[in-house]
Amino acid sequence: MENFIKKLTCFLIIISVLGFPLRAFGASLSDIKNRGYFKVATNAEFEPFEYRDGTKITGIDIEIAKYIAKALGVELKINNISFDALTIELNNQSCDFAIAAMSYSEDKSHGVDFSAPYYTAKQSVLVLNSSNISEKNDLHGKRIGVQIGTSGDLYCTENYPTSFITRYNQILDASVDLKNGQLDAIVVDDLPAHRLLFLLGNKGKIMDEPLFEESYRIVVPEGNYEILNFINSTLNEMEENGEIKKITDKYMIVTGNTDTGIFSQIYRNLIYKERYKIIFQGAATTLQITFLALILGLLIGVTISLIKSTHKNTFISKVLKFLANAYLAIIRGTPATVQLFVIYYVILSSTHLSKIAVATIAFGINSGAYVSEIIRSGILSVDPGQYEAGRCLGLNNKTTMTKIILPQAVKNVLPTLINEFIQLIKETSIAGFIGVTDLSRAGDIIRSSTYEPIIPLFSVATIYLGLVMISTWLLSFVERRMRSHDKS
Amino acid sequence: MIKVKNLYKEFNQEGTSIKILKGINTEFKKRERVAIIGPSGSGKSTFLRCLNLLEKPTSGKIEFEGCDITNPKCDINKVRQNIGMVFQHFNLFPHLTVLKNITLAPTTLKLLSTQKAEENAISLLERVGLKDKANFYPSRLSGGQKQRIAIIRALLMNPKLMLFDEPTSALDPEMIKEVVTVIKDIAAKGMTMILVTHEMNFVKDVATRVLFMDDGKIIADETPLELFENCQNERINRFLNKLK
Repeated sequence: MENFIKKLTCFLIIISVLGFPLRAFGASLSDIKNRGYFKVATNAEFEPFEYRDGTKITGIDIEIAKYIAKALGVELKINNISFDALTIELNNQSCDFAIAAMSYSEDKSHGVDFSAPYYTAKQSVLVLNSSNISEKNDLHGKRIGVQIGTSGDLYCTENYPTSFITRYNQILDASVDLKNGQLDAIVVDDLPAHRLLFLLGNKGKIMDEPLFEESYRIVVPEGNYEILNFINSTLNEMEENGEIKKITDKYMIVTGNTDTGIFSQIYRNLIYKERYKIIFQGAATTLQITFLALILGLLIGVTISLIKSTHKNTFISKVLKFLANAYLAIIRGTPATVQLFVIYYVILSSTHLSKIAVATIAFGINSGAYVSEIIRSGILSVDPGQYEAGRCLGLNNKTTMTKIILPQAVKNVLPTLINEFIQLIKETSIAGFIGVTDLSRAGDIIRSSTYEPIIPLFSVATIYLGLVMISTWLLSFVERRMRSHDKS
Repeated sequence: MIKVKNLYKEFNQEGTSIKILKGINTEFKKRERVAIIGPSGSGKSTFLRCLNLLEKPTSGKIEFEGCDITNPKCDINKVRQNIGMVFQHFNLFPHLTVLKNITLAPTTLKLLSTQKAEENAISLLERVGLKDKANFYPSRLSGGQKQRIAIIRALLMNPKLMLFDEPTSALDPEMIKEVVTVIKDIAAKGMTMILVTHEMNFVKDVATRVLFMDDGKIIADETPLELFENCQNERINRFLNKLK
């Protein structure tokens, strides 16, 4: 035993000695020059630092990254991933650096190094003119609106335990509540604070003193001092030649429109910066997820319904029936949103499947439970004589079920199946929760850029309605064709 | 061909068991045409359905060509390929055309090629005068036409024995004739058959032997002539008189 432990220790030491240098030092500057590009990771969901403008990724951070690449004389390759995955990517050496408006924190410092700060972000407090809130301490016990998961959210939760904090997905929605008197204050980044102020017109004001400040830094894999030094000196150079100020000024414009006419709203929300493309891509994603999930759901549903309707009574079929019932109970007994999260963050988190694939699988598994009960009711509606006739011709159970019972069962429940498909189209709108840009999310993205809710919401609603109507029409056409021959 | 020994069948209904068959012993020989008659609830249909294991006997043995079909080791699908069955309610497959209804089993089981199966099916359809209906769906056929198709469907499997479970009971009188004609035609070609029926003329014309069942037992096993002309059993005479 002792011998074994010694061997194991030896083995582990060798592994770590061999492995450590590979892990600690990523690509050197000369490696990067040879390959001709910097690999940078970001999370393009934080305007104006990094965001999608139409189909391309842009923002303050992206321009800074481009400048750094140019300083070395190489290109820039952007890998857009989820915010949580950024540190994993750095630990794996899959990128040379990450830039995503990240501030230093103990928790995030594991296995990474932070550069010098390149930007100081202020968290501002937005209130109505009539408000008596004028300094930090006045926020105690008040109703505060924040964007969920932001540093403003974390700060207020920690420092104002007596306040009522409402967390919004879209800070735009908070401004409506502020105007209607549902909130006393909004805590948000300085730029969005000014944009909300613009929407409020002369009714609002921003507290002079920011609530707190944080510094944004570039993050590199731990121990890669060559790259870290290069980045720091480039940032320093940008600070001195005014480049950083030039870039931030370019993006930090409080846009707002005085022209609220319907045509200019349509222009700003759909045509300007080719925003309609986001909607169309979202609609395509929604259709893709729905269609593939339906196929998966049908496969699962048919299998489960066959397992549940089998006449066999063997041990295996009893086990299968038990599993099928467990699946049905779990899927029908929990909300689809929770299932989506569990599948994305727990079950499939270690796979490298795309978010769309994960969403498709999740909705397919969800739909399968409902489809199986629909088909089972179809099977029960087929005259038992049909099964007997099949078996009397010498066909086995499986062939009788698939060739004789199932086709009739499916035909009997076709209207209900069509209904399930329509249901599924709308249900996929929760895919945005795991970051899929589906149709609903596309509307949200535009809404959060333009701060105008009407056009994006109505466009999305219209397209959903259109998709549902077209698929209803197509499927009822199929249904009519299938029914045409058994009219008596 | 089929030997039945001590056949019992019970159904469980809401906790109480109902005895349907109470010890049946008989034998069916090749080329025999046996009619099973008797009052409703006497167990005729259950008995017939036990012969191809559509109903599982509670106890007893059924030997088909020397092999006990109640034994789980017996491949019941193989046995059923040799035993054709015709139902009261036809049980045609409504989602398939007439031709597909007939050829589905032999082609799926690879007993015949699709082409051969279709050729045979067409010639059988011609024999019963329904060739023009080959591509119809069953919903467009009359009851008599459906039953003739159902008979052909069983015939195409080239069975050694055919079971008829009240084949004319769901038909109106005009259609009974066309179905009876087809069954007589098959009988004339030497098919072994067992029929459950209420059609006494049919029994007289076709059957070589008649079993009279009452209360789960066979109470008479005679030729039609003996049964209809010189029967001494009061129960049977009462039943037969009512039919007249």
